[in-house]
Amino acid sequence: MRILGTLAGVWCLALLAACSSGSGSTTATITLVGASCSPTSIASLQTSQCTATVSGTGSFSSTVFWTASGGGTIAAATGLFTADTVPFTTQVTITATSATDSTKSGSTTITVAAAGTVSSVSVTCTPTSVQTGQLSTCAATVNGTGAFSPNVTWSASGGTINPISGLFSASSAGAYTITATSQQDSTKSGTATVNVVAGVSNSLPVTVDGGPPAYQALGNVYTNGAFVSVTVCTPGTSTCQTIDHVLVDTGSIGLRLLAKGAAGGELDQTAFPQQTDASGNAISECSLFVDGYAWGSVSLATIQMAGEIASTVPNATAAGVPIQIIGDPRVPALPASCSSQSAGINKSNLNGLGAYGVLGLGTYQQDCGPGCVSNTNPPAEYYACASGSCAPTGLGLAQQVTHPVWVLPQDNNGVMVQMPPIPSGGTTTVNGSLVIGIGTQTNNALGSATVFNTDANAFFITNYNGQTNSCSYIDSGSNAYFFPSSGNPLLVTCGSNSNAPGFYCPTTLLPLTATNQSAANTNNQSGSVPFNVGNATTLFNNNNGNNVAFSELGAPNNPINGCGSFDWGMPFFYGKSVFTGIEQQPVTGTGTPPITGPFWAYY
Amino acid sequence: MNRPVPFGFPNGRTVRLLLPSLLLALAFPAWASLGDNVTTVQNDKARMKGTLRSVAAQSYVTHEIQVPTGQRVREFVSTEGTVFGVAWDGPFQPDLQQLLGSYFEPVKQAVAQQHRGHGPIFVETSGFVFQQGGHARSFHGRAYVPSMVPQGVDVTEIQ
Repeated sequence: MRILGTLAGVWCLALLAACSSGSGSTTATITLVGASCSPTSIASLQTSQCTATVSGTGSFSSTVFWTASGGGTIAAATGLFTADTVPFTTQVTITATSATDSTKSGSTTITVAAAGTVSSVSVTCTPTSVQTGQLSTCAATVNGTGAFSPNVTWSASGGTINPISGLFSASSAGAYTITATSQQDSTKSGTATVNVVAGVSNSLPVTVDGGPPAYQALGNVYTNGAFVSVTVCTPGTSTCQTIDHVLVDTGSIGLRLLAKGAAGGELDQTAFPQQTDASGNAISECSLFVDGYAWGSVSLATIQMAGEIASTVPNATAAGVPIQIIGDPRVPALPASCSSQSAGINKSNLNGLGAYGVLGLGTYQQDCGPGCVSNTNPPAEYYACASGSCAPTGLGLAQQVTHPVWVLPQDNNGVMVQMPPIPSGGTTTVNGSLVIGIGTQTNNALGSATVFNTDANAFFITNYNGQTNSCSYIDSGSNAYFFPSSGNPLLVTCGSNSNAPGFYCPTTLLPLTATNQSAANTNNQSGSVPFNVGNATTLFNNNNGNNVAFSELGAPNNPINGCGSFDWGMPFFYGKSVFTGIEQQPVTGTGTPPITGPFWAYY
Repeated sequence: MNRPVPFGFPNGRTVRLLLPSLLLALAFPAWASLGDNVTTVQNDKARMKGTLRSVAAQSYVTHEIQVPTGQRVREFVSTEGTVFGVAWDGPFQPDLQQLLGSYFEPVKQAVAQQHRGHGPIFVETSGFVFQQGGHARSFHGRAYVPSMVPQGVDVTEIQ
């Protein structure tokens, strides 16, 4: 018999007479293996040294290998056991097995005491009330004595909760119980309640239908115009009007509605107080679009889009959200300084605007911003009107025409426009959705969308045919792909006497590809976009000229070096979900730091 | 308004009137409209309350006005003194009626006739080219008279 110490089988304890290693015996047999550890009772993370006693005949090997049944780890060669942090007092079986005869082994036990005692678990969730689809972050506090485990496992009475992080959300309304259970002692748990409320109704139907019937009756058709209905109310009252055929425009900011009467609109402007300056002068606006201008009052309204209600602007003293009432008869005549800025169309009436309003949902918070605030040499944008005439004036941010989504109490970080794909060659009607908010409810998640941050001028980069167009943008208010053509294929426009002057007229449908890219020094994303451009004359003649929605409509754009421009207009939106993120507004749940506007995203 | 190309510099003659980056608020008080002679028209700089910088290139001079509200206006003047092109960019539009002069109404008419889209404007006639791009709070555009562009000048330089 021999007793093996820390290096089993390598050496014999000399004081034992049976130590016969190297004695010359020819037959070696293991008869018995014994094991013992000291100490036999330890706490979590403490160690115990185990030794084996190997008996045999002949020149047998004393080598053993050590194993443990759990509760810690044992060094296979040395027999040194190290306990884990265990939630309960645990009996660990230690086994030594002969290296030469694995049928011979001996076992002993070590008792590993629990690390400490858990006395209670408490839970807090923030926020305690969320909308469907929004996240509440739950945290547990574990109390106890000694070196107890702080770890908990999360569960919830419904919805989904991450078992490790405690992030909770639910897609249907209700009161949910969130439970954190001590991993050390499952009899100890804590709970909290999260109230999940249905999100505000945030989806508006969008229709592409050729424009208002009264506009079409003038001999026009609005090609690729996407329209919604918007309700406006006198601030602080329930006196409201619903205006249809309001153009969804991600290329401008703020709500503009056409006055009834001579302007040809639907809105009764008398229900809306005019914005005034500090001297009590009424404020008017010359709003500039890339292809024209519109003149009218700045007035105050409560804006309703689906269940979303915009009623105030931060830092404003007057109730209501500033909108423009185009063609408002309360306003003095169009000043020359307004019309002289644009070689485009006067959009101050139905024939020029083609819609009963424009819902500007771009990336800015105000339609003009800091550039219109100063009263020193103000631009020809806002005007103070008195005694029948108007002069340019500075106007504070809180008084400017404001992004109606940005001032909502919730869902205020942007919008998603979701349109179905449409047939090649065009169609007569398209129905889609305008969804308020990004990542705020179950119906507006960014999902697989690529996010492209924009620069201070709300541009990103589109690379097309070897040209870098760094003044590019996505604009539902543009009704074609407007892009510079150079190289091969060289696109030419339809003849000036054709039915489609100013649009591209390739002889065949051209499949093209461009690559979109975040603005320089932003978030460095890119993605290629296949798109088609067809012959506009053919498109407009299809279906006896009754089609009004076309995914293959293209037109030329500014080729200026350094500020080339690819305008992804309405054709881009068909078959996509396109997000427009408002400047400085984060999308919660998208990491640290979160995705923050200004951006465009789409999938 | 159409007329033959007035002259050219086939021998590469350089008219170096001014050094780049030289501020010349007083040296060039006159300003011009498209197609007009630089000496015959009103002082746009004063009207726009801007600062003027003039840079000479081969066969033409660029006058650039920086308006306090952020617009930048450039006029391209041939050595004969004819404004053959104008360009602009910034958060607002310049006074295009002043800048385009006698071309303003023809441009507006052409836009109304040719531009059936809703978006950037791109009008080319035999008499002029007019392009307007961008969106609210950031516009850019240019106009030029092809028949007045000095020989050898690439129209992409009008920007």
